[in-house]
Amino acid sequence: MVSAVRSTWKFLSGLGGGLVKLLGYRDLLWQMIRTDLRGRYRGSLLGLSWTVVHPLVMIGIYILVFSRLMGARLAGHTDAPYAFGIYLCAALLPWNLFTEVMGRSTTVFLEHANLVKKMAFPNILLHLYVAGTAAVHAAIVMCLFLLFLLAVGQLPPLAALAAWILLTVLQLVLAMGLGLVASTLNVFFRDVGQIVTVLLQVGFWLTPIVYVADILPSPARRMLRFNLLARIAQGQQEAILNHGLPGPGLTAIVAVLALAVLAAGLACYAALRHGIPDEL
Amino acid sequence: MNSESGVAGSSSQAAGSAVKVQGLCKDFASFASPWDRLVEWGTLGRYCRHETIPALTDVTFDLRRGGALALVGANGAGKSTLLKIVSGTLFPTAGRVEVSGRVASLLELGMGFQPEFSGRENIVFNGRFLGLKDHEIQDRMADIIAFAELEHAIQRPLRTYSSGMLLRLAFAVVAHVDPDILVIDEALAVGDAYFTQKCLVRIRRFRRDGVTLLFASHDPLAVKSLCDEALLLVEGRCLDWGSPDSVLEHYNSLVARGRSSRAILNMEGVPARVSRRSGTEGNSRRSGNSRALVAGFSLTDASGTACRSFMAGDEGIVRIRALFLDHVNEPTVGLLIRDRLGNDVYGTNTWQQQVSTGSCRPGDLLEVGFRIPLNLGPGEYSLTVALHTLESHVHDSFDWIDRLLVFRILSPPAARFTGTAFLRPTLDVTAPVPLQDLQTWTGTLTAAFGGEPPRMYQVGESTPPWFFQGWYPAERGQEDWFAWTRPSFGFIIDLRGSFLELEVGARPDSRGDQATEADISMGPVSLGRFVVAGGAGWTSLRIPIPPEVSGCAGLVRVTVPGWRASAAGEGGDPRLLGLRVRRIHVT
Repeated sequence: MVSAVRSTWKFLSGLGGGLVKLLGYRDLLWQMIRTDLRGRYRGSLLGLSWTVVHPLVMIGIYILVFSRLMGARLAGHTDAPYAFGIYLCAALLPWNLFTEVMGRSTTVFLEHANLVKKMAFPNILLHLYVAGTAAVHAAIVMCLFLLFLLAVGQLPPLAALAAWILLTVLQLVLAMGLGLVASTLNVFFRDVGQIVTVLLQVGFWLTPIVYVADILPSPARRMLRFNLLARIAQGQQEAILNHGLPGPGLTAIVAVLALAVLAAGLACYAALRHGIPDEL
Repeated sequence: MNSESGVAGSSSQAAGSAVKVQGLCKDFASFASPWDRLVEWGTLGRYCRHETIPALTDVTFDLRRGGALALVGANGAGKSTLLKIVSGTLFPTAGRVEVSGRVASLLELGMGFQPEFSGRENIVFNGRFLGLKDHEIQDRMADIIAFAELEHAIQRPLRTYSSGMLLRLAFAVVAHVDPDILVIDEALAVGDAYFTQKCLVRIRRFRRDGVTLLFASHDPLAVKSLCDEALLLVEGRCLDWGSPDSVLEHYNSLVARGRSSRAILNMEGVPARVSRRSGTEGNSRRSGNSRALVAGFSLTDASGTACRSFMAGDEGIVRIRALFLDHVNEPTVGLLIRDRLGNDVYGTNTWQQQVSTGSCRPGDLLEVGFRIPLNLGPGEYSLTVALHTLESHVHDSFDWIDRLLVFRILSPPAARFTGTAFLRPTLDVTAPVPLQDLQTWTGTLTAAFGGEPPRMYQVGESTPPWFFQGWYPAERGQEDWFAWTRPSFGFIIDLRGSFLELEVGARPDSRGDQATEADISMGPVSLGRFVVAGGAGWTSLRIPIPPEVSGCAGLVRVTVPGWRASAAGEGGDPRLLGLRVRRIHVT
């Protein structure tokens, strides 16, 4: 325990130097992200185009199914034909980013045990690589979504767009922090991977993404206030749909919590990192 | 050299220490089940539920810059763990490790390869991990592939590679990253003899260039020929540190005693830090349980005169006298000849020769003579003698004297040779005759260059195997041509056709507007002389192929009689004097 505390302290006090060292690995990081993007569709005919086709179909289906076939209407937006689809995408696309980063981070050490055991490099690079890859994918999807908004003439003003992106970035930071904790613990307790999968599913339905908060009974709706992810999702929906900006209070809370979780993740990793290669 | 700051890594730069390990310990924690870990962590370690497995205990050594240290020890002695800690993939439990310089390590097999990606992509990926820049990787790519000899497989995904191919790739990458410190685990054992040899040659070159080497191996020859120091690890402790010879002998004597290494540790009362031995080279080392002792020993020539120097093929006689202190039935008396590098050259004993030694009582003296034709190569050899039972000394070793004496073999002046064996071949040579069948000709070419010779060379193709020495492609970004740097150049081409068409030019910047004269020939047939105008222009040649050479693949040779390397002037670039070639075509 004492050694864990000491190694945490050493890691955190060396964080500045560590960042500089990480900077030296940016070529490698970029290489890993590129390799991943190309590798995912290796052996397929369309190759990289799949990165666009997938999200295109996904957005298309959401909007078609929910807005057209099911005729879902949003209160207050009964005249806008695509309102529900847009509402859905506003929070679902960031949520998918969150899920991917969390899910892949959790198993990243196990998946890349070969690298961790045989090459000397800051292992935290693996998390940056997971987040970077997911971010590239998410950026493509979100751009397509914005193009759609532009096409139907509902592109929000710049400030609202910036708010949407800021909330998504904070959500990504949150995912990285949680992912750091989960991936580190997962090396020692393989159950963590399963728990994360379950929690992500539960979290998806505890957050008003595919449904509207108004349909909940009021005690449940009050509980949503304590769900940080629900607050983020509502902020994103508000920005895209109503072009409303999240209050500075909410933004500050989200930012502080996201950074705190990231710091906790780093601390957890720092305390246990020396044991990681021994366990793989 | 004194370091004031004590900063790891930088302080030892000038001091000439590449790897400095001090009081290094590594423990692995083993939990019987994940629940045990949960309990221990949940109680913040108050309930200790794990078993500590010490892999390294208090290891200390100092490897100077440019030095080479071999780790010797049985499996599980902690060699790999130590190498991993030095490489930075495992973290020590206690102690200090200071490494200064870029480390390239070859740990076990594979080094973090990606099985789904091609060999080429893995080279890029690994090069990045080892700290190479993009352009550095691209510059070295061809060399790496050529060194690994994987040209045919480099585009295939790595999962289709054999373990030998993986090793070749891994070593080739490591060999091209300009490491300051090279760390090699027993990986080389996986490769075939040819590649292992190639690796060893490469490692020697690294050593010449001042690269520090840290090396774990079971192969005594590799240890002795590559390293100037060795460290003996037994159950995670450093038992000996000194010259490879003395450490290997120590290791062998541990094996010879036939006790478990733990027993040895207890018996020797292991000092935690063994001070460095000096000058054990040439000294012999003796071990055994002393149920019998070597009482006398002689090496003579065939006439019985004591002798330490023989002509290869001479007969030598070794006589060993054994004194018995205990009752032994059918003892074994044996000898072992080793070469300068410590390789076993020849060893035998009474058991293997199926000679009965009878039953020996305490106080008996037994003498065994070995009459040996010394069919050895020129050089120095050592003689080791042993008394034991059954086939080898690991069963029950009475007395084992390593390198009891050294003798020399001289090469017979009439039949010089190299190596350690004197094989006496007989040679016959046929007079050169012209080749009659084309099959042999084309077959030999195809086998040597991997494919049929082409009918045409267009710049941009990769055609080098068919070009003779001295060519190089035009610099990147310039127009496309090949150039030769020699007074004569050649290429092999499929000559089935009526004309050989060449587009040639002088190096535009070389001789001003001076014309260059060149002779062209195909095999034995001369085709005359052509003149290439100076400047940047191209001359098209159309040369009829004479019937005696058409119909097969042939060597076309172009000679520039006026070529002089000195024409480039002092420090000038001789490449400026060559011809350039844009297109070669048989029509």
